[in-house]
Amino acid sequence: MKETFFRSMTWLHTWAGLAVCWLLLLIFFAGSLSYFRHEISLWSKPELHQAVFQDYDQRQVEQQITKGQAYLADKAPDAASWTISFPSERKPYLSFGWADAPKAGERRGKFHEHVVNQDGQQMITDIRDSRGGNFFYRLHFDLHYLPVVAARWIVGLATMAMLIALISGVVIHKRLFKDFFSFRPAKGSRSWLDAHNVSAVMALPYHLIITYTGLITLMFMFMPWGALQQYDGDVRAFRADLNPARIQEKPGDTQAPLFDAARLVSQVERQWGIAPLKQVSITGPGRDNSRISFTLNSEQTVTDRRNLLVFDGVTGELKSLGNPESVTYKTYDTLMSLHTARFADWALRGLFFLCGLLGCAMVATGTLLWAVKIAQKQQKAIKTGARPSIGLRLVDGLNISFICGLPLATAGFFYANRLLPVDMVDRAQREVDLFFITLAVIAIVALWDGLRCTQSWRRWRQWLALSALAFAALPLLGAVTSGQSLLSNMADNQWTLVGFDMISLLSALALGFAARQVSRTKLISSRQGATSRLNSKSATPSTANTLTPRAAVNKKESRDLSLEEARQ
Amino acid sequence: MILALCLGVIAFSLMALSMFGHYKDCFGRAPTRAEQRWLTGFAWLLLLGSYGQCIHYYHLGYGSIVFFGVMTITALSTILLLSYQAKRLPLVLTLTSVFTLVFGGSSLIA
Amino acid sequence: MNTSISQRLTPIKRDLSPRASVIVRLLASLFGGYGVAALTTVLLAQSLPLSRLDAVLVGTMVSFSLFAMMIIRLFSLRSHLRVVLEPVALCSLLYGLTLVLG
Repeated sequence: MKETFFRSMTWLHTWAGLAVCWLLLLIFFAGSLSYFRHEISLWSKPELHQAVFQDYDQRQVEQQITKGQAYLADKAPDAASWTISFPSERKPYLSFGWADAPKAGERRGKFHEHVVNQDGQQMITDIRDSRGGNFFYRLHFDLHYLPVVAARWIVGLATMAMLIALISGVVIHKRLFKDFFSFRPAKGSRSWLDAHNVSAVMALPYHLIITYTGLITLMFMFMPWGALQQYDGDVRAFRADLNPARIQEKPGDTQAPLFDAARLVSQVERQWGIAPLKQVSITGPGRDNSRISFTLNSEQTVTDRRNLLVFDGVTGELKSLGNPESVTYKTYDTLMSLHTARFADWALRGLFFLCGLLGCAMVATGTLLWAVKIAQKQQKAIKTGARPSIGLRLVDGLNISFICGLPLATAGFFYANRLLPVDMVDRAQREVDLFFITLAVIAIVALWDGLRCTQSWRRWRQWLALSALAFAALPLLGAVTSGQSLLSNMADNQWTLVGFDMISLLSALALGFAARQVSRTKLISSRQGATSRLNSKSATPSTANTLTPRAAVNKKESRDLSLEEARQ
Repeated sequence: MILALCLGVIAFSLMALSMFGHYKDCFGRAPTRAEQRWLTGFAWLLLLGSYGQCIHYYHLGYGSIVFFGVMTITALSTILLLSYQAKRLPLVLTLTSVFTLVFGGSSLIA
Repeated sequence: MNTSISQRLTPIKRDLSPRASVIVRLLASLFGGYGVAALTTVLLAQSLPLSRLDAVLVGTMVSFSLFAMMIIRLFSLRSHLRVVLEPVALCSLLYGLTLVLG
């Protein structure tokens, strides 16, 4: 569309990026936190922080199953399904849970989980209603307050735009290898560009894979035509082929006594050897079509699929079909697992998390670079008293709302988790509401600043400093509201909880550092006049608001050109 | 994984040093052609070693994925060191090499 | 160098305004690109020599890269006629192939 392919790709990179960058920031941020969603969920349930943690013990499995089945038959005889979850690395406790039958319009009923105490006798039944880490997980593709289908389409389109931005970005980054190690701090827009390039290139394989596999996780929603055509519209048959072990039937109507699940353990061991189990699920307990399934803890195998052995719930007969074994299916499985990283241990997930944060940095530096560029163009005009353009104020407002807002809102969510009364109605939703209320407050302040043309880096510093304080105080709040301080957690080897506090403190340090940097360096020049000395000689009258269409086009061209010049 | 990380740090530091500008920032003079070639060659070798270490410690699939993460974090550390404390890079390089030899050597013997 | 750039920036007489140009490309790449991707999915799903599930998987997984490639191509073309005609032609060709091979 422009004179050269290169210029077209520069244009495409800029506008594909700008169209979705703030939404992408939300997606990347929530997605990165999701790598540790079980850990966050554990932190959000302080009722489970004492006398609950235990290790998986193969010898106790049968006993735990018997106990679980008896408990659930007593507590929830009419449930749609029961789940006995064994301790695992990420959820170090034994729990018995059940799902209610779905109400009209719901896909699944509410899930209740009761956790077994370390002594094996007591049950912890009053765990506070909180979505914990699952809020962030769902946020990054279902967004919130929107119907799920609409949200996923929006996220899908944003992902497509991200893919285009990545591809065009690689194409236009001619000096990818030459500038591989280049980062020149404190040099204005040059530094923002360097930071954008570094955060993109350092984790480029990750960014490409995450984006593409993100599309793949929802690919049958976005591109169902192949499946529909080949299966003549029979979605159930397709789903059964894709995921054979998953049970799709609703509980039947006829009653039938449930087989004793513990007696199946020896069969399971014959199939899988002495391999750790993750959970035992019983669908439709007490009905004639009940099923008992054992899920293998696949630990660090690079797979996203669950390994299940399914037995008939009444006769105890082995029924399951394993997952397909073809190369294609394994490729699909591997690609899915590269996105969800369910197979990864905490260290690898930490690396994924770091790459996710680099993704946030890439998007944030990109949009900040854009704001700086626009500000530079209007610098002269602003110096002579004109108002910054609506475009600039909008970009500045969105930037501060998302870049400062997301960390602060997250802190707000955690504070709500500990401070809201436990017996509050709809408590989990209120915690989420506080996340969005915090975001909204920052956005409203930004709007107010924008309308009065008083946007400045001071506001950034205020929000960043507040976030730093919030995260620094979080371990303290956690200790006060859960009865377990950081030190006692370390003494008890509760490394998940220690890790949460550590990351909280690290975030506080990073945000505090950022707040300090904002006040020290002259990040952009126009509104603080750092480079005004260079332009003070030219006393041209303000033309910011009187551009002709031709001049506007030329300005846009020269902006793109200067982006390329800055690159050389 | 520690060994893989160390090897990665050394590899990327050497790669950076093989470039004109970064070598100048660290040592104050321009690198010679021969120096550049040695640095690049050795850097790639060590990067391969880092990959091998990842695969050896975890199995093939898992280790390959870990390797990409190792590369990200070590290259990023190199960049930050170069940008903020370029003069310290040779020192960091030497210390990491010593640590690697000691750590690697002792795990080979043990 | 600068003068020749400003000369080349002068739009050709019959060309579209920048806003119209973007709109045409956006619509063509979104609908045309999606059409090409979807038809390729169907084509691959029905003609690859793999099991039914596998063919569907390959076709669907690959489709997004085709969509991306179409967007990139349509935003780099200079002629707006081609921007509109290329996706139409490709979609017609792919549709024809699905009928023939189906």
